[in-house]
Amino acid sequence: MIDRRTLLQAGLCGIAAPSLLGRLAFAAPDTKKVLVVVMLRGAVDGLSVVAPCADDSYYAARPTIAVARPDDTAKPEAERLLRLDDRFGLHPAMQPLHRAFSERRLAFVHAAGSPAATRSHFDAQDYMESGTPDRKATEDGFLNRLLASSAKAADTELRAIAVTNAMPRIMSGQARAVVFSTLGDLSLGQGKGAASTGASFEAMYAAAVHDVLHGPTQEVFDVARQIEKAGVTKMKPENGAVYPKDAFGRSLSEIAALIRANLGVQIAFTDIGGWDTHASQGGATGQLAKRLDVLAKSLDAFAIDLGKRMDDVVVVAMSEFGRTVRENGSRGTDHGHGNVMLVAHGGVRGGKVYGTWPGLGEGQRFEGRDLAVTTDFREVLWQVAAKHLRATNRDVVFPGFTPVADASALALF
Amino acid sequence: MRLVACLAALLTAAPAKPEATGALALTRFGYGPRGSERAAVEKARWADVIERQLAYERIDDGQSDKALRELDDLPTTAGELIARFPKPNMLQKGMERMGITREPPPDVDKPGELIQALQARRLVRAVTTERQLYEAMVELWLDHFNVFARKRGVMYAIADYERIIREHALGSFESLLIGVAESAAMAMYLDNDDNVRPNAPWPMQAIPDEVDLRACKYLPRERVEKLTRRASKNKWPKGKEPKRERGINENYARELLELHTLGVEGGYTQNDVTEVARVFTGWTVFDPEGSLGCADSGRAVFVPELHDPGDKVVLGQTIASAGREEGLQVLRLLARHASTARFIATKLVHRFVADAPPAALVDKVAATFTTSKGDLRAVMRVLALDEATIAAALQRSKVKRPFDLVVSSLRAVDAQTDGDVVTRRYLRALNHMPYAWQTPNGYPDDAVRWTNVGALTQRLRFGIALAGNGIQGTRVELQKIVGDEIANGGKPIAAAELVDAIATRLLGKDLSKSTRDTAIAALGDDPNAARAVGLLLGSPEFQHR
Repeated sequence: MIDRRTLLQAGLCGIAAPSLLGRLAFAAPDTKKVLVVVMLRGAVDGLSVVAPCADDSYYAARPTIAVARPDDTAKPEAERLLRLDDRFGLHPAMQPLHRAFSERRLAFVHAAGSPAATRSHFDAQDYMESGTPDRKATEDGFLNRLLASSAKAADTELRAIAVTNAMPRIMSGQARAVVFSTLGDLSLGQGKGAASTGASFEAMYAAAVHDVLHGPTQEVFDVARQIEKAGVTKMKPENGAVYPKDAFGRSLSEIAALIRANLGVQIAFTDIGGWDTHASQGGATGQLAKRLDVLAKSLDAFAIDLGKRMDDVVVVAMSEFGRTVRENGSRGTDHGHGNVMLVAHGGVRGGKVYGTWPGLGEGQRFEGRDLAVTTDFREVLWQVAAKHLRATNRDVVFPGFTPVADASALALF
Repeated sequence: MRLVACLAALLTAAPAKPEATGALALTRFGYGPRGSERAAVEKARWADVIERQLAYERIDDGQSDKALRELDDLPTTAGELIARFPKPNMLQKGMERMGITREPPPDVDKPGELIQALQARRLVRAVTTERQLYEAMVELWLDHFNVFARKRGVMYAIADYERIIREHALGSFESLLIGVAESAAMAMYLDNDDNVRPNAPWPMQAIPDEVDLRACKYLPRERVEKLTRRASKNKWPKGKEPKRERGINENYARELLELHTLGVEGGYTQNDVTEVARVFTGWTVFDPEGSLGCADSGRAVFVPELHDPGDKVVLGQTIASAGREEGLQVLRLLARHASTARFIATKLVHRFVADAPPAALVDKVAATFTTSKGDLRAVMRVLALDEATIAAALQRSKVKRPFDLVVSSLRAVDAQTDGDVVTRRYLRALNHMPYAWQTPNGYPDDAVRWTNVGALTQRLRFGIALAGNGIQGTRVELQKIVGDEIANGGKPIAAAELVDAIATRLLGKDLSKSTRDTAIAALGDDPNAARAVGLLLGSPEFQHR
C-alpha cells in the first residue's frame, strides 16, 4: 500500500532533484518498520536445521549425525525432527520456533546461499555482508547502503545498531551505525564525576577534527545520553519473555529494549558463533543441538518480548555457507555450499519451506559434495528490503544483482 | 578580516615538524616507552632503537623474567595442568576414581582460572619486557596462528604453544610454520588430531584401562605408536565397538593454506585442500580420554597407523608417499611459495605501517622474504627502516588495538600490575583478551573494527580507572610522575603546569594544542593529578601509535 504522502514525497524528489531519486531506497520513511539480521558465523549445518528427511541420501550420507524422521517411532519423540512439510523436518532443538512456523509467522528458504564458490569462512562472510559475491573491492556493507540510501525516519543516532564485539562488515560504510557489545559499554560510569569527565572527553574529541576518531567519538556521547534518557538499561523483558543466559540472548534482549524505547531503530544486527562443527557435531543432541537451542530460545524470547510489535519487525537469520552433505571422519561436517535461511514475522508469509530443492544425490551436489544453491541469498534479502522496508533502489543495495524473472515461487510477503 | 585569517592559521597550524625518534619507534614496533624512560628514548634515533630491538637476544630481560616468575606457579606439563585445572567432567571422573560420590561443586571453572593466568602472563610480559619489538612479533604470530583456549583441550597446551611461537618469532618462518604444525594446541584447535586415514583404528578408546591421567603426561611417542599398533589388532570389548568409521578432516589443511601460508587468493583449489588433509593424516595428539587434550609436551605425535598412504599431489607437485616426511615437505613447499611471501608481507605491513598497506612497500618486504628464505629478522629490518614506514609512523597512521592501548597505558604511567583484573575486566570489556578469539583468522587489525561507540567508551573508562588507582592488583604511583606534594594535593599547581608535566611522560611532543587546552579547562581551579592522567590516557593522541 502506497499512501498519499509517499507519492507526494517521491514525486517531489523526482521534480526537485532527479539524481537524488537514485539514492532514495526508501520511498517513504516508516519509523515503525524494523529489520533484524542475525548472522550465524562459522557456517551452520542447514541440513540439520531443516533436514530433508524425505531424501534417503540424507540418511545414507550421515550415518551417525542425521536426525530421525518425524514418524520414526524407533526413536523417542524428543530425538525426532519436527514436521514442517512432506519433505522437511525441523531440528528438535529448534522446537521453540516450531509454533511460529505452524502459525505461519516463520518461513525457511532452503538451498539458499551465495553464488561465490569459496569455502573460506572469511571470504564467504565478507561477500554475504558486502552483498557483492566474488567482489572484494566493495568497501561497505549492504545494510549500510540500505541505510545510507534511505531517508532518515527520525532524528536519532540509533537508526542502525549492531550488538557485536566489533563493527561488522555488513554495517560499515558512510551511514552511521552504533556498535556496542553490550549496552553497559556505553556508560562512562555513574555519578557527577563520570558526567563531567564525559564532558571533558567530548570537548577534547570535538576539537580533534583531523583525527580519525573524531567522527566516531562524536556519536559516543550523543548515544549515551539518548540511551540514558530513555532508561533503556533498566528495561526488563515484557510478556514474561525469558532469554537464555548467553551473549546472544543478551544481544537480542538489548535490541528488543531499544526497539521498545522508540529510539528510532530501523536496522539491527547481531551475530552468534559456534557453528563450525568439524568434529563431534552430534545429531538430535550434542554440540550443534546446544547452539540451536540457544538460537531458538533467544529468537522465541525476542518475539514474545516484543509481542504485537513483531508485526512491524522482520527477522532474518543467515550463515555464510552450508556444510558437506556427507559427514566426515570425525562425526562432523566440513565446509560446504548451499544452506537454509530463516525469515520471520512482520508481513512474512510463513509456515512454508521456500526454494527449489536440488536433491542430495551424488550427481545433484555442488562440486560433487555439497548442497547446491538454487536461491541467491540476495533474492531473499532484497524481497525483505523492498517489501518490508519499501526500498526501491536495488542497484545501490545489491549492485549487479538481478532477481529471477518469476519470483512467484519465492513470494515471501 | 586579516586578523581572523591570521588567528585561524595560528589555531590550525601544525606543530613543529616531528622527528622520527626512538620513542616513536618503540610506539610503532612495541607498546611505547615507559613514562620514566620517555625523555631518554626521545633523544635516541629511530634506526638505532630498531637495530637494538631486532637483536633482542642481546637485550637483558631479567627484570621481566622475574616479574613473570612472581606471577604464578603454573606447572609446566600438560598432565600437571590437567590435574590442577580439570574440566567439570574430568573433575567428576577424578572424584569418582578417588571414591568421592558427591557432586562436584557447581560453578567451578578451573580451566577458566588457567586461561586467566595465561592471559595475565601475556599482559605482564608485554608491560615489563625490554624486548618490545620481539613482543609485538609474538602478538602478531599469535594472531596469525590463532588458537582459542576454550576449544577442547587447547588450554592445556597453550603454554607450550607460546614457547614454540617465541622460539621462532624473529627467526625462520619455515621453522615457525613447522613448529605450529607440530604443536598439540593447533592440532586440537583445527581438529587435525582427528584427521586420519579412512577406517583408521581407534587407539584412544582401546586402552583406557592401562593409561590414566598421571601416566599420559610423560608418555613417549614410541609407546603411543605401540599402543596404536596393538589397538588395530585388538578385538573390541563387547558393547564398546566404535559406532563410526574414522576418516579425513580437512579443517587444518584449509586454514594452513588460507590463513597460515598462501592466503585465500594464493592459487590453491579444493582438491589441494583435500590432498593436504591426506598428507597430515596421523599428525595427532595422544588423548586417552577423548577430549582431555592430554598432550605430551605440547607436541603433536605422528602415528603411522593413522596415516593415509599413497602419493599426493599438492599445488601440482607430487608428494611421494613417505609418512611424516610428506607433511614436512608440504610445509617447506608452502613456506617458500611466492604467495606466502606476499601474504606474510601484506600482513606485516598492515600491522606495522597502515591499514591500507602501500603496494611498493609490500613488494619490497615480500622480495626480502623470498631472498632471505623467510628470515623474519631480515624481513623486519627492511620493513622497519623503510622511509614509507617512518613517514606513516610520523602521521600516527595506526590506531592502537585495545591490548596495545592497555599495555602502553600501563607502561606510560610506570604501573605495577599482576595483570589479573586488567585482563579479566578491562580487556574483556574491550573484547581483546589473549587466546579468546574463536575463529582461526586472529583478532582484526583495522582501526574501523576497534573504534565503535561501545569500545571507545571502554577505552576512556580504562584510563580513568588506571589513573585513579581503581584497578585491583594494579598500582600507579602518581607521586613519581608529578612529585609527592602535588600527588597528595598538598601543593597547589596550575592546571597548565600539571598537564605539561604529565604529558612529558605520556605523550612527549605528541600533545596537541587543542587537547592541552581542553584538559586544562577540564581541570579548572583545583587540578587533580589522577584526573589529569586519566584525561591524557583517553586523549585522541594516546589512541594512536
